[in-house]
Amino acid sequence: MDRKIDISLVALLAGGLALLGGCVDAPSTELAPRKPAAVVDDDPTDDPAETPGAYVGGEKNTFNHMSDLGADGARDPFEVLQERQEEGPPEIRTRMHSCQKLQNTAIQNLLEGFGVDLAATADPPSAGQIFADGKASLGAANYDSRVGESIVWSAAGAAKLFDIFVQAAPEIIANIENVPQCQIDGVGTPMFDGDNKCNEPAVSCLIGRPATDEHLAICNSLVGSGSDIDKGKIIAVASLLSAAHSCE
Amino acid sequence: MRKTSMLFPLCAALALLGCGSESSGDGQGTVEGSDDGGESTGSGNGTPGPDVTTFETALHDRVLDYNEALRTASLKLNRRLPTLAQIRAVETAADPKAEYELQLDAMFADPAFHTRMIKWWKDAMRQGGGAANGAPSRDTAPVLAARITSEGRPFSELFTASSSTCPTYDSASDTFVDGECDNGVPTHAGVLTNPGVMYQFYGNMAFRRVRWLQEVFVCTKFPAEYSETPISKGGSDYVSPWEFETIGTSPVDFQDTKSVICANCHTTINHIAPLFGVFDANGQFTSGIAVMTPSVPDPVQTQLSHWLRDGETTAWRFGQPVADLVELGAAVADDPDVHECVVARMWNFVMSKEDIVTDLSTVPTEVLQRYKDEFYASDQNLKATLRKMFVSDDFVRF
Repeated sequence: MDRKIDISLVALLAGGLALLGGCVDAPSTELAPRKPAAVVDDDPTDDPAETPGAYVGGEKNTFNHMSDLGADGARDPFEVLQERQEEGPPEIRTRMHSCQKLQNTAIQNLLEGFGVDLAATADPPSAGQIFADGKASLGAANYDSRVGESIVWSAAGAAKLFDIFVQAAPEIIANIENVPQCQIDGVGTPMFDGDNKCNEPAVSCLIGRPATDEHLAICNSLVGSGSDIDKGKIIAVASLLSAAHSCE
Repeated sequence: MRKTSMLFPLCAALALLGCGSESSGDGQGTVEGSDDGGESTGSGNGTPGPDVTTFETALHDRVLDYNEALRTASLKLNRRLPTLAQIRAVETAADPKAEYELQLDAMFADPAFHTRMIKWWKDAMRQGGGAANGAPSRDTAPVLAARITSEGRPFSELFTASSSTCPTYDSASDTFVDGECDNGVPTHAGVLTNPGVMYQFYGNMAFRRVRWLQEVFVCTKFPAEYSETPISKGGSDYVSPWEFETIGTSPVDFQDTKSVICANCHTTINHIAPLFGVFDANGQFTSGIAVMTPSVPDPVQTQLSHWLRDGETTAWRFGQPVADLVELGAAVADDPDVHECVVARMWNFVMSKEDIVTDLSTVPTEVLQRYKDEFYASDQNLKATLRKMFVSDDFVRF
């Protein structure tokens, strides 16, 4: 079954290349030499439609095809194919969770649930300011360009999320005991105990699942890694959040 | 059949990519490494892919984790983390599966599910935004879809509803509010007559609107139809079941075969496009054709003959003529490929996959079948179908 998938991918690609060769009336090895030079017209008064080579089939029988519904254009199909193949046969990969970034509204809800004031301003910028200013790098939708919100991280977006968590951490540490999100029957637990150790209920609430001994060990280790305890606590909370919520 | 239909568009896309590079001159369409052959390119510069058994092992090694499922489901359905109380409820339950399903049902009943579905449909439909500067709201079509999903109404209504096709959502009361589209359509056909859709996807000869319908709701790019007996045209295969000469030749020669076989896609596209061509750039219904044909030196108003030869009528697919948008809606709503597409999109949502068209995140029929069965058994209830996915063995294993 799984071998069949490999074969089908190869056949698919081969079919595409066969069509490719057919449509240019030349062996595929000649594609590179036939690559046209970019159409450059320095005279803005010229009609682009009259520029030689501007159209596929000639000036009178052509249409400028968009590669994708969105204005950003389509991805390279070979790159996409490679990604899919690296993920394994479709019968298997489609049954396993992939890593989707948190949607921006989920990030907002998460921060607000932990008591972070997203309207607060500060210098350096507060978590709310970074979030508000960084939505594009966080993959926000651009419907004017017919592009929905991204479900995968960009490097900039992942880094931005960590910045947000670092700036939010002091508020989270201060508020976590008092937010309904992290209370049971109206009773909450502080983030750290009197010995500056991480409290399990607070860590569980932060990461959205029962904290294990390993989670607590990492948290405690991070607290001790800062230049002082308070900075260590910030690093611990931001790191836990960032690691736990890198995927939905 | 389905597998074949997925392969052809990709092959054609690859072919078009190469041809496109000839004309665009930007080099983006150049297929580097194509002389390595299909196998090497597809597997990443010739390096063999990981052994299949690696993936099988990963599948079998997944661990049942209802708390992880709770977290993921909460983020997906309500866009927030589970509370500590919810976490503890599942963690300490004598029957974690039953407790997880209890929590899951609460998520589906939460108003946050409504807004999540609105956003999900906005992203799927690639549109959103309120009315402004004379342009219609682009929210109403996604809201209609979210309402149908949230209220458990038949998915077919997305294409057949004739009233309240432009609803809104009142976040203060967490309710959907009836609303009629005011773009002058005599009889509405769900999102197919929505002014926001027509505005958002306005373009030459209404082709962008047709592509929207095809890619969002059939989940494949064009070409969409395949004959069992392709014929040779211009040295390449003409694969469409339509008679080659059914489409126009002037001002745009859709029968051109010099670089690609335009008719492979345009025999289908051109039989649909006239139905959408009656909407102007603002999504308003008109009595004539309100889109333009890109001709040199200036665009001209499109005529029916630009799409189709004389005597040809509009159709959803070969052998499925549709006289108007209402009939188009009925045909789309009845199309098994459309049903499979929405179930696949939902599965990809649940399992965090990328876009089924742009990112080729197709789902094998054998994986989808049980959810398609639920879709049909529940009278096309997407919420019920989604629930079955969220309680599936695949979802609760990590």
